[in-house]
Amino acid sequence: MTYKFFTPSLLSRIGILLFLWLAFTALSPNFSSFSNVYSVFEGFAIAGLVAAGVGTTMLVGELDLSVGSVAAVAGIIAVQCTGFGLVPAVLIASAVALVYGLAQGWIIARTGINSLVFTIATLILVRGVAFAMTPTAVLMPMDRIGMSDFLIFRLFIFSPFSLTTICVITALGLFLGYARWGREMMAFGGARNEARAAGLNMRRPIIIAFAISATLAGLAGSLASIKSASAAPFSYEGMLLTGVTAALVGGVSLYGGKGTMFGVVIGVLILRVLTAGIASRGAAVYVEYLATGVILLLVLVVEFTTESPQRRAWSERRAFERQLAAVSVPA
Amino acid sequence: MSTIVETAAKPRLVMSRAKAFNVALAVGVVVVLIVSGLTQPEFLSADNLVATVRAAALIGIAAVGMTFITLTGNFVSLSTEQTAVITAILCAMALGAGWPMWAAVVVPLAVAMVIGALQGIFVALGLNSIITTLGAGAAIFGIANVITNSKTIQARVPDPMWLGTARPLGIPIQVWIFVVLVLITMVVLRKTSFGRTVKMIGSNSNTARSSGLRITRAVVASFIIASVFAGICGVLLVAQVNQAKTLNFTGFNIDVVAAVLVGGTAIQGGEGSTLRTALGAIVIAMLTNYMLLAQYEYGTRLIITGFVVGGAVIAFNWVRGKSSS
Amino acid sequence: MTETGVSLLDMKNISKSYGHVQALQDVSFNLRSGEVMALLGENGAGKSTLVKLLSGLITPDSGSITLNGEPRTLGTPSAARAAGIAVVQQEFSLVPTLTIAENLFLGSGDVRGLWTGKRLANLARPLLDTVGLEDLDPRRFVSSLSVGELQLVEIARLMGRNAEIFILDEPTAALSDVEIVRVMQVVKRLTAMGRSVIYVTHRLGEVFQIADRATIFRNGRSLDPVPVSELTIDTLVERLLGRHLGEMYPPRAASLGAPRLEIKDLSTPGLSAPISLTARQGEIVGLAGQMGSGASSVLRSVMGISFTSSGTVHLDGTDITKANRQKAISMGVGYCSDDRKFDGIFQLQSVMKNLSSAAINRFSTAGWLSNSRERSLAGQVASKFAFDESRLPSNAGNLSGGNQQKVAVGKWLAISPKVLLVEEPTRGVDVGARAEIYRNLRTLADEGLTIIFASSDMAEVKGLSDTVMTFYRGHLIRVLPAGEITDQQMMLDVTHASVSSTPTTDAVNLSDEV
Repeated sequence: MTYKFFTPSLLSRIGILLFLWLAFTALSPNFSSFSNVYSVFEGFAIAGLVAAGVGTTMLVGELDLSVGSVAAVAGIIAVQCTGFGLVPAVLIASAVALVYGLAQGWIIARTGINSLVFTIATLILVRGVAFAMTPTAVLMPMDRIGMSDFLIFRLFIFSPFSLTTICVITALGLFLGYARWGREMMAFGGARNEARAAGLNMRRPIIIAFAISATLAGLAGSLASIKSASAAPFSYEGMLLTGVTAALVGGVSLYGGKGTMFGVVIGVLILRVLTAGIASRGAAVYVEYLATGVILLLVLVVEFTTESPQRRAWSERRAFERQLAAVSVPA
Repeated sequence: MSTIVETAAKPRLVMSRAKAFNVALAVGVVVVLIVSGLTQPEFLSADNLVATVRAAALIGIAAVGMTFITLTGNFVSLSTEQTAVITAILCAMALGAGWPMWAAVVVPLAVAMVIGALQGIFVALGLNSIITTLGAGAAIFGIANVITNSKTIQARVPDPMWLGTARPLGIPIQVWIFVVLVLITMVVLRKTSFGRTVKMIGSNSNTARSSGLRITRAVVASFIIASVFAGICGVLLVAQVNQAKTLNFTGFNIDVVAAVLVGGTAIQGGEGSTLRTALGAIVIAMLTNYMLLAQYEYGTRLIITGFVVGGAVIAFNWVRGKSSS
Repeated sequence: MTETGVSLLDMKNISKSYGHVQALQDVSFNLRSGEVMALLGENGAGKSTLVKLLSGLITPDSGSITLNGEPRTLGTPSAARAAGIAVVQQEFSLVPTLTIAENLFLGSGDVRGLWTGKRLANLARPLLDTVGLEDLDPRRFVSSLSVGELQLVEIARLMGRNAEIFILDEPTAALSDVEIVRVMQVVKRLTAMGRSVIYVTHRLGEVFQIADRATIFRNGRSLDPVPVSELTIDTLVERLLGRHLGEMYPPRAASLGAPRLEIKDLSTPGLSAPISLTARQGEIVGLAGQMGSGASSVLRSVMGISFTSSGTVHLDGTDITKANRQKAISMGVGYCSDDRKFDGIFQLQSVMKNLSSAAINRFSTAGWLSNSRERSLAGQVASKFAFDESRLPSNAGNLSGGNQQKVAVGKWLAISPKVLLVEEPTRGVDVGARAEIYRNLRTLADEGLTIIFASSDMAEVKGLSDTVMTFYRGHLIRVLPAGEITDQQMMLDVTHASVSSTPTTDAVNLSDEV
């Protein structure tokens, strides 16, 4: 088994994506129209960033539940900073998220508190910060509405927003795949004890992972808020669900150490195509919720049956029995 | 290998730890009472205290149920809110359809039980509890919206129900139910083999397995308890407001988890009590009530709550690390 | 390259104690460059303490360490690494989800810039070649390697860190014959390159194949190193044994009862050939064998932890072959693993709850616990196992290793067991607690309990058992009453030194012998 980019599991996911696409196109030919593909990618733009961030924490064997709150705060900061221009506003908001992520990662790495628990506390706290900044939605001044128009400017099926997402995820994928610190994170997530024995720094992977997840959540929140020309303190609560589901659908293992950013991209697209398809069939918005939940449970079951320690113990048993059979036949 | 001196000295320190947690929580309650009483005199009025405990009751009931999940070492459930929502909706629909009250209460609770059992089976099989409950919550919420079409369901009960408004001995019925459930769960955890099993699994599931304890059964039962208790919250809400909608319990998951965490139940499982969780819910309710009286903004209230929860998590983690190393 | 024969590492008058347990006492150890030094000794003799010391995990209480003529302190793992000391552990430090090449450079900080597959593969190639893995693709995932290949990749990784001294800790314990040959070839290659090897093993045959000198540890003390050419198997075994702690063990059973546990043609993972055994009422059966010998596999199979692929197990005539753990427990079978922290005790629960944990139904009625019945049950267990009752309320995790072990074993008395299965009954337990555990187990056997235990401590097996069964690499070698087997015979069986030929022929010789 040598290294391959297109593993069978990735190919099967691409296959599912194509199948869904063709199926929805067959049901409603309009599904493959430029404008619809464009809107799928617009949905991908925001969900992709969050999924990549949450997925990164999953790769190191942790989970960041606070992404939705961070996105809300970043969105408010970005909208309030649009006076400095689009790019500075997004950069300021993302930088704040980065600092927050570094601090959160450092505390988790330092204290060894389970990240699920700790990020529940920060989820509340950061949401509070969002409400403290503005109790109601802030609107972007009309004269800056050009920034929103720019973000959704249609380039073929893409927009500056979705292209940003694609660039960021590509960079993250390269970092995790080919940079030393990135490989250390994968090693850390895959086998913590072995990584410790190999002399790895045991805090760096956690800190980087939480810095990435917060930064990407901040980026997603700021871009999405500027795009809609308003930021509300209560928005982006559903981001976590979408992010985790997409990462799992994309083949990121809950047990850590396994998964690629390209897989996450496929996972997000599968989810977006599915929700767009459901919407194109005229179903209400909340059916998406139902579908996402059901998909999440399905993927969980599939992953469990193929990846979990229990499954491994079972396949070891089968292997041993085969070996026994092979030995006993000639004798 | 430790010396005899060490082993003789340490246990005493550890024995006091569980009590120290209780004392710390009780002290916390008293401090909040005194400080708030001094700064906001109306805080200590009987009416306000009753209102505070009543506010704590719904979150407290769900949190007490969730404590079972936490004790088995399966962290928390993120589908509590949605379970409460769907129970409330089913209850309101049943009442609206003219069912007798007992049926309108029992059938939705049975549904909650099934919801809990399914998640419990998944988790007992080895699936991650956070993700399982996150997914289940989304699915349940979707179903709740589908069956209501996102509209408010009127229970259409002519008189307000006693289950919502009765005040035996001047104390709201919700508080009575809360207190009774806390007492029952305390007894269950301390005095039954199920309760013992739950705590032992959380302490060390490998040892529990090798000791022949019935892990699957206890985990599934814990999820059922958490789910049914969430359902009770849903029913109580319908009884109080005579209607139900999908947005009734927004943010409930977080409040409930916060109560469990502030109560100091070990998130790794094995240690904690429903009494402490209840105290945690009351601390948070008192804090919120005080902040409301002092006219803090919603954002400030959330930030302070976040700090209290985070501080509790770090503090309990630190104390446990100290005594187990 | 340093010249062979120059003293590279010199440790003098090293002492180390844990609490009141003296792990190393005035130990001296010497290693020359380019040699293979075998490090031998029974479990608990102090080998692993020395290895920990050299890898910087612990510091000595007294004594001096000289490396290349300079005095050194190896306070931390990184200091030991910097000093050129590398430990190849039994548990590897390779990450299965990464490729071989990535693992070779993980944690070293040597390779900066992009970690592309090709670049790393090119860097990895020479390292893999030096350990004889010329045909292994560095881009393969570590998860697809065999145990032997893992061991060699681990050595290659340490080569890449410029290690001078390699400590191999029981490198062949889990390897197949072919793989053992490969590892030995690499060891020879290492010494040819001027590196030195400390070779910790329980397999005496390997000493003669590979080592230049041997240092033997006994009860925390070291004997002077001896050139292997001056040794024979017999003199080696003599040096290894030679402790007389006869008073540690209680007298054996005067008479045995009816057959209680009957195992017929049992086949399970870890056993290379089916085995049969019968244990009688009141009998203590000791299964002697090193790690990977299959001795503990038998116990796990009986308990339903690992599965039984063929054969039958009968308890008092009842077939319990298919019984799972709960069923086995309800039938009166207790099992205590060799890792009490993992699945033997509840560290954060009181001793009382630990002692009663396997028998909750014995002090509950319709699901209701009775505190008084629990207390009296735990009290009975405690008194039977000579456990101070005043300790019942304390947390098990805060007890000493010996007392934790007493809890892990003793809790099974609460189910009034018919059969008790114990792996390594005294691992990590000090001498005083050992004697107590032995005495307790014998008393229980005298009351009719059947005890089967697996151990790698030969003195323990011989001293405690009525019947001894020796295991070597998945095969049952010999079954004898404990009074009739000699220490030498047992040591030979489990280390398999009786086969003086190369390891590849082990299997052939074995089938003749069994």
